[in-house]
Amino acid sequence: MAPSPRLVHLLSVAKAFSRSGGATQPVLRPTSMSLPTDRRVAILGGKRTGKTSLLRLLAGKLAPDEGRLVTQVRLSPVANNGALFHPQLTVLENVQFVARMYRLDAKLLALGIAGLRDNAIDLDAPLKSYDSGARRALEAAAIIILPFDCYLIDDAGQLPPDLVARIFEAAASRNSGVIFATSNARFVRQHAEALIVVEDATLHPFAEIEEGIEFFDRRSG
Amino acid sequence: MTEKSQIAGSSRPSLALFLRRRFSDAAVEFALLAQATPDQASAPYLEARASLLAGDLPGARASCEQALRIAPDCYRGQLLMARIALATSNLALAQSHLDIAVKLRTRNADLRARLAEVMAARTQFRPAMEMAASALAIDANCFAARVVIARCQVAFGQFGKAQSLLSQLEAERPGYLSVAKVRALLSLRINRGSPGAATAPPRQDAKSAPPTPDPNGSASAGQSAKPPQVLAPAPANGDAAITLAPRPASSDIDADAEASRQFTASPSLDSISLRPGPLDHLFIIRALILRDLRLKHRDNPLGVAIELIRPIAVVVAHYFLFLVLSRPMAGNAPIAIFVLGGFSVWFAFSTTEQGAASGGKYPGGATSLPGVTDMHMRFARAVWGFLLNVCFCLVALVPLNLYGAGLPLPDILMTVPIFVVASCMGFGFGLLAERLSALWPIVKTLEKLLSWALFVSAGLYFSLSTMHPPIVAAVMWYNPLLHLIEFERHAFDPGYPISLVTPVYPTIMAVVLLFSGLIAFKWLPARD
Repeated sequence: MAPSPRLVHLLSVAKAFSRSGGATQPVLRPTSMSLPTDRRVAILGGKRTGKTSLLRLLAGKLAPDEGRLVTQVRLSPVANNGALFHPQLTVLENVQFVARMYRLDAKLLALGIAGLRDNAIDLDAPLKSYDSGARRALEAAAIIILPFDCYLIDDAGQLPPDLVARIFEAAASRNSGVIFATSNARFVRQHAEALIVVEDATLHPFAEIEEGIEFFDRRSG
Repeated sequence: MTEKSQIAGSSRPSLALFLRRRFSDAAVEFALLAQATPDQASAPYLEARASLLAGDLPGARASCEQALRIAPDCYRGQLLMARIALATSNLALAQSHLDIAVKLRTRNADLRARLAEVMAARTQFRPAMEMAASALAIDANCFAARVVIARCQVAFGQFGKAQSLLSQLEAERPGYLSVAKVRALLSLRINRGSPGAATAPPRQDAKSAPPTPDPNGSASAGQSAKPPQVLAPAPANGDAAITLAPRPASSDIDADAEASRQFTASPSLDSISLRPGPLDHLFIIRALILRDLRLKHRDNPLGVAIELIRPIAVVVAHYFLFLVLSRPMAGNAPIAIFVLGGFSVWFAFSTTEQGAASGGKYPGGATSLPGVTDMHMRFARAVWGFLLNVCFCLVALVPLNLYGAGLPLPDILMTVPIFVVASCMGFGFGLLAERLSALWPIVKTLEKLLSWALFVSAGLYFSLSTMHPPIVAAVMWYNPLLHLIEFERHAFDPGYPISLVTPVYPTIMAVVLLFSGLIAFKWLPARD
């Protein structure tokens, strides 16, 4: 049976990382779940609970130890997580690289990214001259410029609020969804339409935001 | 619960305090009254109002929640709760209570407009647009609803429509703050080329259709881990905190031509695919090669030309070495051909091997991009190694011939397959060695030793036909690169002897190494 076009299905997906001494730390216990990719879904959890790993699994940058992911939607790279651009190159050179790879107009792409950052970037400066926050914001802007069915954002609360608003706005006008991870319940209240609480390597889905936040508050004490 | 009943249920002293604007004291009085009459909603409601006005937002929220527990259908209570939520910037809570209030007063256009405002503030522009439209259906002159529609039009990139609507609104109420805000936003968007909306032209493909409700979707909202769970839209109920309205089809939203022109002008904007086609792979490889070259040589005055320095230097040095030694060449081949044919094939092998082994080491973010894999990085390095050396081999003697050297040029139809085989061999060898060394670190040392042995026995400094003693030549024969190098020299000079070598053996070795390398790459773990 063909998978539903707007869902990403996790079929018995499990993931664990090996620790020193041969022990393994599970970040996701065997889970079967279908996530909507056409709305704003928050992944809420404390520090080091596996939110980022879940996003990286969805993006295909981590392979599950067990199970598989089935989807027909185009999920973006995980914004605000890891490098997207080469630090030795300038912003413009990085943009040219992306444009060349996907056969896009580099000039338009650069204009779009600069516009999303309120033209507060120097396109000819090497990326390494930016501080990490500015670099991550820039890379997030670059991702949102590219067309995807669903955008994945790690630690969305750490991005500049105006950029976050524009990301959500751009995704909505593109009819795309956003799956974002955060440890900030207030941020979830403001932006989420559905919620997954990650706790003890287990996913708890909630369509009712307040219910999910209460659950999160209760579990995190 | 009506206003009258609320007031009737409250005590006169509390109301007096309230009317004298002593809100903190009034809140205390109402709290006492609420304890005395726990079944009446009016006391906690008034306590919530007094607390809100006194600035005690948590207290106001707690009291209002208490009032709503007693009388959930209280319209004013829902409105007050929304007001408290807005005061604490809890837009989701405000939206949920306004939603209930709208259900209680279905014909109230201003209330719908207010709900639409909150939705727009939460960047839920499509539901906001629908809600504002429903307000206008009740009251065609509803000002607030039209402001929301203008805001949504800006968000959708419909700048022309937003412009004309804002002009109308400004004419009706000059200097109205919310209109001025939308006007400022519109100016900002137009001035900066509308990155948000303009980059996001609504798709017209089948994917943009409203999602088909999953038959099992309604069972998703719970916490139980019954597989498979579906976090799909919850069934609409009266007090749902979130209303997951299905999105309208994209065709309903016609973006202004000038807004979407910038990015829709690029016909391949939607071509980014998780499963790139053959042409996409070529563009990815090309982009990676160009990026690598820029990274390596961006500060070099010679630029990419520096890549040719090493092979030229090696060939020239060995040319003079053989010239000084004055050794007779097999088949009386010119020294330049002997050296060039040998080293260019060796370089093709070694650079592709290095590319395969270390090409994916420093991706610099490239592999985060969709469709770009570690293998692309390795392949790009290998392809550059192949191209550089095959081109060097083909054209290295052209400048000398221009000065009358009269040296033979290689047969292209022979040279290209030789370099392909050498590169495949190098690529497979590199992949295999890299993955095996991740399992057994000793393999790294063995690989270096083997590379050295291959270099020594590849025939770079001798010809198989003149090799003595024959037993050594028989051993050397098993180096597949020796066959390729001898054939390359033959491609330059048809008189060069190739009776002792065969093209079949190196081809088989290349196929075996390439498949082994690919299988190892696929199945063996990478080094951390």
